[in-house]
Amino acid sequence: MTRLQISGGAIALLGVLIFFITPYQVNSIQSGAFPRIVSLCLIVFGVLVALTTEKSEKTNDDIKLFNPLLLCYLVLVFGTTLMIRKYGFYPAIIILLPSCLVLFGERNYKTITLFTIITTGMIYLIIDVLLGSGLP
Amino acid sequence: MTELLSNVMLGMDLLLQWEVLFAAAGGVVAGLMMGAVPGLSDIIAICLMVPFTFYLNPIAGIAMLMGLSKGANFGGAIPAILFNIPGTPQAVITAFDGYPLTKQGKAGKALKVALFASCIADGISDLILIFLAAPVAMAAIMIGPAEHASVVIFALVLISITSETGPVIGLASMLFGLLLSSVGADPLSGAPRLAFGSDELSSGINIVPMALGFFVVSEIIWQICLDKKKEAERVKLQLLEDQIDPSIEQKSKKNHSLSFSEFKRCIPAIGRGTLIGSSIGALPGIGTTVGAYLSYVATKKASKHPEDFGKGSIEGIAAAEAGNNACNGPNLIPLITLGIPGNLAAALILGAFTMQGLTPGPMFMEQQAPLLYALFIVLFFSNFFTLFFGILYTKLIRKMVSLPKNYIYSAVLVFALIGTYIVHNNTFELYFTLIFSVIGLLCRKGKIPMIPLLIAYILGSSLELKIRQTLDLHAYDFSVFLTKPISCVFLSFSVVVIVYTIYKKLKSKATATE
Repeated sequence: MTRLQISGGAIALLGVLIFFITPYQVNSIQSGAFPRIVSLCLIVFGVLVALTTEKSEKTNDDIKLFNPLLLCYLVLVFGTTLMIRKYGFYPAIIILLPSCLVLFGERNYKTITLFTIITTGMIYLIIDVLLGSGLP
Repeated sequence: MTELLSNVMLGMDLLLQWEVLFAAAGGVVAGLMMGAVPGLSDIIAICLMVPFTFYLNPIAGIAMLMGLSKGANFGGAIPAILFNIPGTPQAVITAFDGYPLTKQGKAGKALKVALFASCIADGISDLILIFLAAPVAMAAIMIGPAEHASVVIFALVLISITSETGPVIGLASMLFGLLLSSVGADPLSGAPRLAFGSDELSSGINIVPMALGFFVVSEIIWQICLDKKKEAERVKLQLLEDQIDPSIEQKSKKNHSLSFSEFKRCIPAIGRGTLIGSSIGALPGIGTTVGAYLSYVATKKASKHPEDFGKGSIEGIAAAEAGNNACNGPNLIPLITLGIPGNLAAALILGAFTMQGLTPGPMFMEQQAPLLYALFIVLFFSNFFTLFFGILYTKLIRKMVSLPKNYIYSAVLVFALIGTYIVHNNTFELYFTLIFSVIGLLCRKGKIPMIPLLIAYILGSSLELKIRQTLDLHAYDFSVFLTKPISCVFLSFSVVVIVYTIYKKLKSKATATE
């Protein structure tokens, strides 16, 4: 299966899902008409995309979806989101910044520490002092 | 004419405040810096800055974004010229002749041509915007909801079919955007719709977490993974860079300066680029890259020495930069007069307008004329700032573009998360950013273009509102869209454009298989 076929299939499936869910998520027929018409069109175009013939080409601008690095970054962003909600921005940033750098392959711990301190200080200066919007 | 002058004067009154000028200058500097870093495009720069404009007054906020867009547009040309790594997609064409000039030790000359061509073309395109905006807005006032809906459909179709991966997937992506726009409140009754019982979803999805997830977080993660893969190639690039003998560069100051006769040689290319770029810019979705490319091709064809193009022709750089920057002014015409963004940058600026409580559209020019003219004048100030800071910046730039990417990417990730929070002071929206980052990564992997998706998302509610208003007024008779002449013309154009593009695509495939 080519990438476009998978994309087309996913788009069509999404259209089907929304088409059947919409009546349960709206107050009136008029309110649900637009999403239902759009989801019908989405099904049609999803199928058309899936039918599109595509040459299997290997480009240099592509990565594997189950790339460990990619998954690590996603987990890191998710973890940071949870941390921000639970403990606030500054503790989360202090963990996110060095973790990002280490994942990227940076091993100079002095630079990492210095960068984390300077960036966190700058954020405090810009957001809390200059804009007056205290981060939680 | 007198009305125009009085509006300009009123606009000047609003504009001449330190906060506004400082915001415009700050935007230009930030744009220059971010545009010059490969991997950070003008779009990422605008996405990151939109939340911060919320803290400024409306003129200062929009001035900052306009300055940012202009600065980043020129900034993208700097790494293209110096390292053959375009900072923005449109700077690819500039690299054709810019990098060969750098290899000849004339980087300074190439940067100056790019800067002057950018600022001149941008300035002229801003003039076009000022003179065309009022008549187009006057015409726009006269159109009803049916015509408005048809124009929006036409713009969405144009934006979708020009997608890199193909017209069909572009249209599918646009439909996905329309579907996302229907999440939240019903635009007519205000009742919650497709909210799945969630309070956070009942008011719809905010554009800021969506844009930051799509265009910043997912882009940064993608770039990081790609960079790891390309590490070997980076070494190769570094080697190529080392081939530029520093002694050649230091040899003569003359190599870096731009003489008046050389500048005169570029004037026809700048003029041609401005004309082509402005015409392309007025059409939604076509984009600055096409403007730069067509301008480059036309100048090459008209040149007495076409063989020099690609080997370091200063006319080539001037044409590419003029074509690219001349799109900026006319691109704002549909945004200001109809509320339809012509490209992604304009869409994000529209998001900022909305956050400030301003709604661009036919009535905007009448109700907010001084503010609008203040913004028009800001465009000229931003051009001046780009020229001023551009000259200073090109001297420091080598150090800036060689900043380690991992540090920049980490800082951008943090600012994206902060940007999500500070608009509504709501940490729940961080989940939206996360979800849209995943969707963004899936779209990148699945070759689904994200620009039609985001623009359709922005225009979706107004499209639905206009369609339903029309149907309410005409007892749910759908034929009204075909009986009104303007509406019929735009809908017919939309169908013709779709059919023609798909036919052309199929034909080119058939010839390729033969």
